[in-house]
Amino acid sequence: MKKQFLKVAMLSACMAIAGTSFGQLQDEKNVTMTMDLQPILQLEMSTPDQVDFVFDKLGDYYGGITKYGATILKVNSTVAWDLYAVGTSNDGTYWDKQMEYGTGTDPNAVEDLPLQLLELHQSEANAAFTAGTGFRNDYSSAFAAAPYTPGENNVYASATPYVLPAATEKYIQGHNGTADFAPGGSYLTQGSSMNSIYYYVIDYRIVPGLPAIFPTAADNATPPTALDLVSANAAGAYAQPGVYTMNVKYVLIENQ
Amino acid sequence: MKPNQYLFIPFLGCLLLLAGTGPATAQCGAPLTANCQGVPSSELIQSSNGSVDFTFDDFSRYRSGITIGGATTLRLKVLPNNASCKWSLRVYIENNPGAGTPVNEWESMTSYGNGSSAPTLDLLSIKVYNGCGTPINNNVYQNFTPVNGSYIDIINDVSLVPAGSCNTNVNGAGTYLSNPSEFTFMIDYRVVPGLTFSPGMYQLNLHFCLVEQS
Repeated sequence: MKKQFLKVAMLSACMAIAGTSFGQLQDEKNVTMTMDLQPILQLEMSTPDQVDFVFDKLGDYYGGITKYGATILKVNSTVAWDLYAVGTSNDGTYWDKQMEYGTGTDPNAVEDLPLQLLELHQSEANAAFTAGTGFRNDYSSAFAAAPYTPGENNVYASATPYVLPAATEKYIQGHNGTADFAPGGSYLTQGSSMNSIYYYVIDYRIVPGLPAIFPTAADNATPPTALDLVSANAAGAYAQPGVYTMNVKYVLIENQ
Repeated sequence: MKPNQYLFIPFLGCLLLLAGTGPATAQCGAPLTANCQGVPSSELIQSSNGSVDFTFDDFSRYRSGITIGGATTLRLKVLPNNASCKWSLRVYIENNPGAGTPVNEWESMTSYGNGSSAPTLDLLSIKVYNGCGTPINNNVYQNFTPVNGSYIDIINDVSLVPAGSCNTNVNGAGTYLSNPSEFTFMIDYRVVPGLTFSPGMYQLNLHFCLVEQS
């Protein structure tokens, strides 16, 4: 009888404790937050995509033609980035000849005009190029008057424009190494637009010379290899008159 | 059957009953008193979607952020056992540490590109408000301490503030039916990522806890 009483008492106590535990106020609701950070790389070009150089005066041949501010580039990026310019054409080496003036029978008249005869000047210097091993790491040098320094501003040329340029080539911003990049940002928020690495004014120059051998043409080796028509061909060579075209691509990529 | 076995069986049952109450208290903390009635008499009702998505696909959104207003609505029903019934409402942040997530970061579901800098937990801002302005920091954006398990008190239970007073920190018994301006809580969320973090898909969980702790 005594033990039965003990059992009943213990069961009652147990139920009382358990009942209290279940009766206490506690409730929970959950919210799952998902954040999708999509990478953004935007390169805006607010200027015409066609730049024409017409050489029809003796002075233009001698002094060349410079197109100031012909291209303006604006960068928006949420990731670290590199920017480079690459001159290209059908064969990635020479300008594409669209038409020829005259008979074109003179053996000294050369139709293969190197892409590197085009010179670029960027308004803001490259700030990250420790991996660069070429003659110049960007296009920030001012266009020099004669005597020219071949290789100073000549465009990087390639038949594979979307392959990252080698360490020996010029970049507008960043370079071939992973440590060489510009941080994410925007021309909209990075202070004054005219001294920002997110805003570039690009000038172009072509100097044919007379005879038209393009004396500034060179690659970016150290020292540069001259690509003027005499050095690349033979004494007496000159450019075949005609219409030539090439394409300059500005490529903005995530740092790599 | 021996007399000791008569004692052992109810004792074992008692242990099982008590053990059954354990897991439910793991996230929100154990209730310490029983002055209020438990679930289902009292209840925390979430009358909104349990998923909030932030998609950053435009540069201006990265800079200015995304705000989702009223994404979560909570309604409370707290019935008393006695006149001392008071409760707390708290929100915990959790980043699934069991998956190896660093203690201060959002859980990374997938990454885009090369980066490896995941956003930190203090990136999320929440703003809680209701008609009477009862939350401790009513209508003010707050950030979590960037540590998994950190929390923000919406209502605390340090001292009893009876319902119907329409004051800060009302925590007495009542329901959203009779006092909607004190027992309903709207929550806004805001994320302003800037350009520091690596692109990718990230996730975290918020646990809203209604509990009486003192």
